[in-house]
Amino acid sequence: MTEDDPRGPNGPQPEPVPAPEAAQDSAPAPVPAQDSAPVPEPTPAPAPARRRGLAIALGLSLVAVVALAVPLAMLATARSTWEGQNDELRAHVESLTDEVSAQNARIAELEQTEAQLATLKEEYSSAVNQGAQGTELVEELEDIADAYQKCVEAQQEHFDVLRNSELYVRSSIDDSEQSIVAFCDEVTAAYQDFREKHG
Amino acid sequence: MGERRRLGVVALALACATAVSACVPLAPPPYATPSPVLATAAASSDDGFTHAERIALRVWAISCDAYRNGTAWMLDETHAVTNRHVVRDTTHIELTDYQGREYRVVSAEYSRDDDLALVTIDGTFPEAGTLASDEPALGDDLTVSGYALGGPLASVTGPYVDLRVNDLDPTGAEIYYLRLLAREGNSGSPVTDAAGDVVGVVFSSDGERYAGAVTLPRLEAFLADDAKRTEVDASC
Repeated sequence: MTEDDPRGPNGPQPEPVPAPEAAQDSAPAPVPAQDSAPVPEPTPAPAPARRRGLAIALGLSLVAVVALAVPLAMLATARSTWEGQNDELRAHVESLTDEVSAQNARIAELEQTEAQLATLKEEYSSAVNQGAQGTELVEELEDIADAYQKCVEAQQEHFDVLRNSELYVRSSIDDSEQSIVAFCDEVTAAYQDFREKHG
Repeated sequence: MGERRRLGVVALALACATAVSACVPLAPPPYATPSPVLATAAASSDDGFTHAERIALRVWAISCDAYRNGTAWMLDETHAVTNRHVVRDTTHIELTDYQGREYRVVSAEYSRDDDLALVTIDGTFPEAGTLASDEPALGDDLTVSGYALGGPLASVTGPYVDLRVNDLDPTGAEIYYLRLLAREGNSGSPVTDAAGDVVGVVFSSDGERYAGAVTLPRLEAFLADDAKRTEVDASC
């Protein structure tokens, strides 16, 4: 294909049509109504309707954008708030965990202290009791010693009686001796009981 | 046309408002995180002894032919309660508290009906027991604080299992039957409830698993009626 090719690049070109003559008289010639076919009314240009449609579409689009943008903005705000709250809660949980750990440690210490206190309490009560018992043991022993002393004195008196037996009735001497023996046996038994009870 | 447009605008505004209001629940409501309750030291005595233990006294009594150990507890600053069989026919009574302080007994008197006695000390005691306002319920855990076998001071706890006839005095008042080990020397020990208030007085034991205690109503009656008490005769 060359520039001289009259067909052009894609095949035969339409025949050149003579340009319409410029109307000399712009007013159309009157045509008898009867003889001519009805000429259709020129349709109104579609531009205003299209424009309105476009405006409505644009408006709807804007509304849709706004309708989407608002929830999106709300979601973004909510997410931000949630994240903030989540961070706060996590920090609080960590703080609580530390606090609970500290409390647990304190409880363990208190339990240990409580056990030590219970032991000390027992030891203290035992010592106090030993003190009280000691006083009582001394008093009991003093009573037994006094009784032994009475036993010895009674026997001493009885020896005197026996030395002067002719001055006393025999049965009376025997009764006195029996009484002294019984008393001294009681004292001995009390001492044995004491030894068994307190070692 | 203008009216339609207005209607459309209103409809759109409503739609937008609905969309916005639908999003409102997305915003989380404010949430106040709870704060933990701080642990505090339980209310207790400074020295580790319970109130019942602090008012319990060791009794050492001398009768005409024997030495006796028992327990008493302070009713007020000058009077202590114990058992009749602890102080009856005694010539000498000594009281010692949990810290070893000794108290001289000025006088003692006992009940004719129940195994209860009231002793008066010389001087004053810093603490006093409190009588419970209500009787214990079956199954309640009760505590006996006293000087078993002459000491040292100890507390034992067990349930109140029955209100029954007193085998030692079948015609007398009923007694609390407790499942706990009380021994010789626990006679006169206070029986306290969970609040530490006195609900009875120990007076008997099988030496193994069960103990008997004078009931709260009998104790109250004894303390309320002076005329029914008999003075201890301190002569052999």
